[in-house]
Amino acid sequence: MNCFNWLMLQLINYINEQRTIGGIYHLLKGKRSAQTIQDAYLFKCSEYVGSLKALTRQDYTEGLKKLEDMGWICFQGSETIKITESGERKRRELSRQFQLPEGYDGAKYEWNGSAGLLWERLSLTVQSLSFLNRGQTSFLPVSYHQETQMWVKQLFKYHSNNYRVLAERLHLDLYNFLTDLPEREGNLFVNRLTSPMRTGKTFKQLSEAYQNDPLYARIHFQAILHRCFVSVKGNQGSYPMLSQFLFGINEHQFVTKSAKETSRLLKQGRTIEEVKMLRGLKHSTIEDHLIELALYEPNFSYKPYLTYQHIKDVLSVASKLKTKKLRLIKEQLPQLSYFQIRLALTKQR
Amino acid sequence: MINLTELLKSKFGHDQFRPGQEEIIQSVLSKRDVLAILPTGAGKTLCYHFPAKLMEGMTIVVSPLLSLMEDQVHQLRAAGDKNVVQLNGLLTFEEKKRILRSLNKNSILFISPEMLTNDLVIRRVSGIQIGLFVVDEAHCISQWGHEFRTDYLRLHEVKERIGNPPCLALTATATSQVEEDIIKKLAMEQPVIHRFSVNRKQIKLITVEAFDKTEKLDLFFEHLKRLVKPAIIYTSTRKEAVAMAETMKEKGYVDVAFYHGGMTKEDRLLIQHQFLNNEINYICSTNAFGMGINKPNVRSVIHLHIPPSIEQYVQEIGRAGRDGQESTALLLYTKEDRAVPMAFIDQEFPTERELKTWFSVLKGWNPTTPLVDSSVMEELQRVLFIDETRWKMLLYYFRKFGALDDKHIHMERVNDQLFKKLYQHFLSRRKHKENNFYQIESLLNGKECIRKGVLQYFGEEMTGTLKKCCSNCGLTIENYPLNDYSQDENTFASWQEELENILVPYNRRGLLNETSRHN
Repeated sequence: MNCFNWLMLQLINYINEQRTIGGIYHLLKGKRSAQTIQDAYLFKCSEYVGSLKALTRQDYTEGLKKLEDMGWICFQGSETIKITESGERKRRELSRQFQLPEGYDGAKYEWNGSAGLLWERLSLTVQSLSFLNRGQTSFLPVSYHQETQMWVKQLFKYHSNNYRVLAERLHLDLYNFLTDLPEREGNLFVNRLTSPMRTGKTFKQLSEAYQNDPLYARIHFQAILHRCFVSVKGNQGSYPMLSQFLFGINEHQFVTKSAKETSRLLKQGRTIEEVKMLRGLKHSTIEDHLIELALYEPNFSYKPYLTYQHIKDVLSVASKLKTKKLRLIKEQLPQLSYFQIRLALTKQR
Repeated sequence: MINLTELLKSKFGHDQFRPGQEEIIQSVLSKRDVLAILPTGAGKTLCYHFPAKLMEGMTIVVSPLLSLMEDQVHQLRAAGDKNVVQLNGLLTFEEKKRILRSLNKNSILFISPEMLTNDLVIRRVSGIQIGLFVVDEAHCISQWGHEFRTDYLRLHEVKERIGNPPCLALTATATSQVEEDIIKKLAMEQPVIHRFSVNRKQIKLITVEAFDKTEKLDLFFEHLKRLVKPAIIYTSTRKEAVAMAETMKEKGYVDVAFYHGGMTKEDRLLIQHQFLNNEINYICSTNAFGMGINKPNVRSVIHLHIPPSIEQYVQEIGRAGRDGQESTALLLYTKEDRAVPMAFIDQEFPTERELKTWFSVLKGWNPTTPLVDSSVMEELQRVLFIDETRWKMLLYYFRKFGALDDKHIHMERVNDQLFKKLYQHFLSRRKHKENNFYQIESLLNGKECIRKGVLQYFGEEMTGTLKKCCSNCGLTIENYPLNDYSQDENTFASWQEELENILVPYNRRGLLNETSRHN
């Protein structure tokens, strides 16, 4: 519960009345929209994005209510909230108790579901190998996800269904990877695995080493997966097996599939209008795609949409007014569209 | 005549049928419509899985609960039948497309009622020969059953559109009223009815009334010293399930976990698997746990609240003793426990005032377009401030009484007459649910044999007497010996050792040498 309060207060503090409670909810939940991911960078809380993936609107509303009852936050109107003085003290206190683990990065690995996908592949592969190598061909899979089941089958086929060799090689890679982590994290990871001897444990059951907070245990577990991406990508040769688990979960996933298609057409020299026609999309959707591309494509070109002076103006107004509210910036720069302002703000990172 | 027992051996690996299965399968194979009422744990799945393998054409299985469907499908697939597939709202668009494409006359398709009323699905399915149409947990189809869903009522249309294949309806709990309703709602033609007693002799029934909450808790732990594990403990709310698991742990029952519908899917699966593998032996849960879980050796089912109906009670205690061994169902309650189920009934149906408000808002409502699309409907739901379930119910009745069709809301029909109709309808539904609850309450308050009361409810006579039948026949927890559970905690060595155990065969362990390790 405490870790939950900590995350809520952190985000409320980062947003600092510049977005509605809905915006905060989307950040915590990791909504897959250009707005959310842009906010994540704009408010410099990108690591936190999607850290409460399973959060329901109802739980969120109840959570806010509790914070309000404790006197830690107060509502400014019905849609914005502010952290109070005692709330700020509480936030600092909790920040001494909880920290995001080393290597944890929500925007990179939670927002797009990369970490979740990697875990599904890993856990189902380990389970399947451990059962098959004991001659047990029928078992209830830990993942009901069809695509993951097909992926594991493909992996096995690629290795000519040589389960023994596969298991030993995977063991070696996992061993090497986990050795670089604290002992506590190694325990956490292996305890989550399911084999014939033992079913994986839930975060609730593993929370003891993490201040009895299942959510804190979960964040540490996700951090292990995030580090797995970094370690394996940085050293593919040392992780011949694990690197195969990253196939198809790559940088391109940072951009939604639809945005990728828009990008492809624009690179062919099409105009926004043409893309709109060709794909039958709304203008605002294409604009969202462009924001996404600006955030993630290293050589995205602003030129067709903004001049250098525009960007400078937007950033200076934003810093002068100490605001990220689009409406306030627009009042000062009426000649620019909301889209142009949003796009310019992607430069502020 | 084919020898069914031989096929059972060769295709399913069982030596013999369990009581009732063979008769039902015979009737299904003769292509008649069949209604089968089989007690909990009697092996309903085989009644359609077996004919599906023999009959020409695809088998469609309509299943009421998503989680139940997923469990069933994965159990059948895990057991080796890869023709088993599912279509439901949990799948992505791509996955649905893939499944639809893959369908053929050998498929056994599990499908939710919502999906089966989808036009695209019906068209695809109609192109394949269909051998058998199965409705599982068919009591849900009847508005007198305990989990009535409006989506079910359109099933007979679907059945007709796909060419009226032979139909098999299965349930564990059906009063004669429900039985009639199932036949009517599914438009079954001169069905063969196989009804078997709901009585599960191996389940002993104990009910105890406690003075208050505190005494209930004391009594629970007193009973727990003698009730055999594995056990399922049912509470009325999620919060209570979580709290009870915590209390049990504090009292030294370390092999306990809670379970409810608000948990993530992964966590729910892990807890289910741990329970199936006897790694945990007590589950504190809401009614979300149990339907699809095939655990033969559950020895005790404990209710810490009063279930909303005798049907629900029978369904839930039926999760005990599937292996045929002796088991116990304990129901611990206080007078105050009636408040929660009564409140649930209250929430389910609109009051006269609410209904009036809805109608007056509707009459004054000026839709931006006379045509009804999903965004208009969403807007309307927001304006009326109705939760999802009641909204669906309202729409269903609007459709039924002609005030709504696929394109228009007919405002002129949203009148007093419709109001009266709906009000009367909801009133009688509420009465019915309340009545269901009163029936289980009077079963608990009565002095007569509980088993006899349950059987009477389903229109059965009790035959013969049972030793150790129920608490009204003289059975008490004192008749049970004290448990002697030594705490053999599943120890976790170190991650290094565990990881090696999982992945490396015994004779190759310890071979990780310095050269292959990174340093």
